[in-house]
Amino acid sequence: MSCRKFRNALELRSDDRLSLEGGFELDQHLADCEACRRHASSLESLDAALDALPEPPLHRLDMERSVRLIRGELEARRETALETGRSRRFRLKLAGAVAAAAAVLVALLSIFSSRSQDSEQQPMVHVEVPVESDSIDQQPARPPGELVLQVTEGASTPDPSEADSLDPERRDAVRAETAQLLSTAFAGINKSSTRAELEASALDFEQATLHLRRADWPVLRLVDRLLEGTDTALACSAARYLGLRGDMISRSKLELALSRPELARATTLAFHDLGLKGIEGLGLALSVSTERETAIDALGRIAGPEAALALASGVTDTEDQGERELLLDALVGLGADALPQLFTLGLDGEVEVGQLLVYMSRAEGAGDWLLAGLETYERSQSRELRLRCAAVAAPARTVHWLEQNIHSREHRLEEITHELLPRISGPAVVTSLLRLSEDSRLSSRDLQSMVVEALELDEQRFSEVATDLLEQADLTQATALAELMVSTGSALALPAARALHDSPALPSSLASDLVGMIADHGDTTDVEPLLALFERLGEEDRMFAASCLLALQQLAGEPAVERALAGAHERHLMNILSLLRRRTAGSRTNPSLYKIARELRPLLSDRAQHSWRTSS
Amino acid sequence: MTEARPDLDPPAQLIELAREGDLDAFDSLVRQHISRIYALLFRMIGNHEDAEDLTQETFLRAQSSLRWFRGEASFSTWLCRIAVHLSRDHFRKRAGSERSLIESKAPEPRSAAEGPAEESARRELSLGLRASLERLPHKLREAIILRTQEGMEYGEIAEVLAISPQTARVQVMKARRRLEQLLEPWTRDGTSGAVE
Repeated sequence: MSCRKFRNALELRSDDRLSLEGGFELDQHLADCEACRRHASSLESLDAALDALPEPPLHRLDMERSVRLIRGELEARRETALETGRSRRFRLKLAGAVAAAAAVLVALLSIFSSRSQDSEQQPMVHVEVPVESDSIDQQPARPPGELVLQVTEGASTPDPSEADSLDPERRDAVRAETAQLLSTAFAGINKSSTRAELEASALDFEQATLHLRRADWPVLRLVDRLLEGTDTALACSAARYLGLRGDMISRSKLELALSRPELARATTLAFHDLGLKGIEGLGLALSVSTERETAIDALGRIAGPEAALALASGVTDTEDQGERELLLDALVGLGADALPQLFTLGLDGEVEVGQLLVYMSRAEGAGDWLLAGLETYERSQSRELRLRCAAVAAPARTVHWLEQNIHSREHRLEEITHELLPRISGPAVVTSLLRLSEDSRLSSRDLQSMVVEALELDEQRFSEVATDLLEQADLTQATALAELMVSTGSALALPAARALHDSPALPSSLASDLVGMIADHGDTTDVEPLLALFERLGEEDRMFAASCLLALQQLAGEPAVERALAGAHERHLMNILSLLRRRTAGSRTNPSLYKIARELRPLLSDRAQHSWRTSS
Repeated sequence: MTEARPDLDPPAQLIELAREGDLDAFDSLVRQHISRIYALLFRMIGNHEDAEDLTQETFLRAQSSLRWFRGEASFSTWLCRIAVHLSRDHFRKRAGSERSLIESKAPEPRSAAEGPAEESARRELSLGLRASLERLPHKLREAIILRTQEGMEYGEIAEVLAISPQTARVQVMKARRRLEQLLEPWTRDGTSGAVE
């Protein structure tokens, strides 16, 4: 079968229209056909991209406002249409007047009727509620009893049908008890200055709720009345109560209550009381209420990725610079949870990038995000931006990324060393730099001086870096660093030798260099390093072994030489002695070496001495 | 692909009342359908402000044309048809201006469970797709959005675009092929392509 047929099948599969049999046949073909697999992969990427297109931000659609605007426009059009014909307009006006008069009449009747019903059915509630404080955790304690909920004795239920099932006397008793409980609970809420106290008050409410149910007086109906009533203070208490209830119905009621400006603060605080469940409401409060600062504060306290998302949405929506800064501050305060959102805001261009970097660098783990940002921004943003991104990004990943991109840019290495490295700490960068030097136009000597300058290496610092590397068992990098120092004759070669002398991964070639370096420049403190280095010198390093012995002899005398030789392999010793003999034969210019050679002989076994004598 | 939405068509009585000029009835219709129409327009246009304006315009246009609605298609489909026409006009008007989808406001921040590299790649691909969608002829763009984003069946797409179901299928297929070509710089080696 041709690939063409299967490509059609792939498209059908993307469109969810491929039969099972067709799918089986297609999979078999894909297993054998590389070209079709590539095509399938390409289609999968397309499908993935289509799936990943952002969902419409329905939360930004203000439905009621749109309905009002549409309605207003339609009414205006109707009015315009009416004005086009005088007689028609007259008739409509007359009809309108009649309708309006009828409406007024109906309204008046309903008001009278309602008042009459209210006076009979609604409990009389008198409340004194203090003004709420500015901060969630700083509400002042209020004297007990300041908030008083009184239900007039003998008052009817809000809905008489609900209380019919109870005996009237019993019902009144239950109501009186309920009123008392509610009064206590509301007082508790208004007195609460901390979350813990609020939660304690919730228990009172639970108690009150039970009684309300016994009285067939559903608590939520009461709350509805309170929220819709004219008593703002009581409505605020009801809103806070809903926050403590924390169920789905409470949340939806709170969202409705949010549209009343006088309840905005209490509602926002209630959303805060809801914790994670209240985040959506707080996002709504950010969009529509007058209590944005409270909402921002609350989201910052709730924290977590969801709160970060709500705050980031707020940043996107707001046009007020001050509010934007508040939102960003709150977002940054969320630490690592804020990073994905800050990153996205940066990609969206919602926040000035330099400022964004400052924000992001405050959070732990910002490096990876910044580096990804670096890769993204890099295509269109400035060199300065790249460097700033990289400077706060994770060093190892930064250098890795730079390595990958070194061929694509001129002067990359200079950029790294002069601008980037001073802001990157840690030894992880060393090996990468050395690898970079292979790809660059710089000589190793230039690189060495740039590394020393960039990492601010001195003897002390070098030792720290090398120790860090050794502790991390990153011997390759440590060795590479030392190699750079030794091969370029840096003044830091000696510290490198001292730091690395006992590294098990140290290659013998580097050990030879280090021996030479210590022999030339070392002091008595280098005896142990020399001994360690001597042990690792191979047979091919006889010259350095001899130099090592000589250095030991110079630095610490013959005991040090004997220590070195005591641990050496016999064959190794023989090689050294041969070398010493050749170097000292016919010459007395180096009596110390001659002495060493002479004193070494008794250390050899009989067979070795025989072998040596034979060879000589 | 998005799931097909349930039929939310209002009772014929409500439509009849609205047709007779009952603005309350029309308000109800607006409330019932505004989210879907806004979502469709956002997907077509790519930014909130224009989508919101065109949503309102869709309902205004619908109210003035309600007398022509005979119930042959569902009310929802009929509204979608108006919205698609308005979006087409919108693109025509905007064709001469510098503004493009790619320059329009980026999508909302989303909860990023994946890592930065994945988020970055997703963004790149998303931007690439938006740029590619804009380059499609409007018929192909509308067909693929209605199919893949709105989750419509071909019959419904056909009603919205006033074409046959078979033509709708062909247009979706063509749109896929074109998008595949246009997205090649992004899909060839991960997401390494550049946004033009």
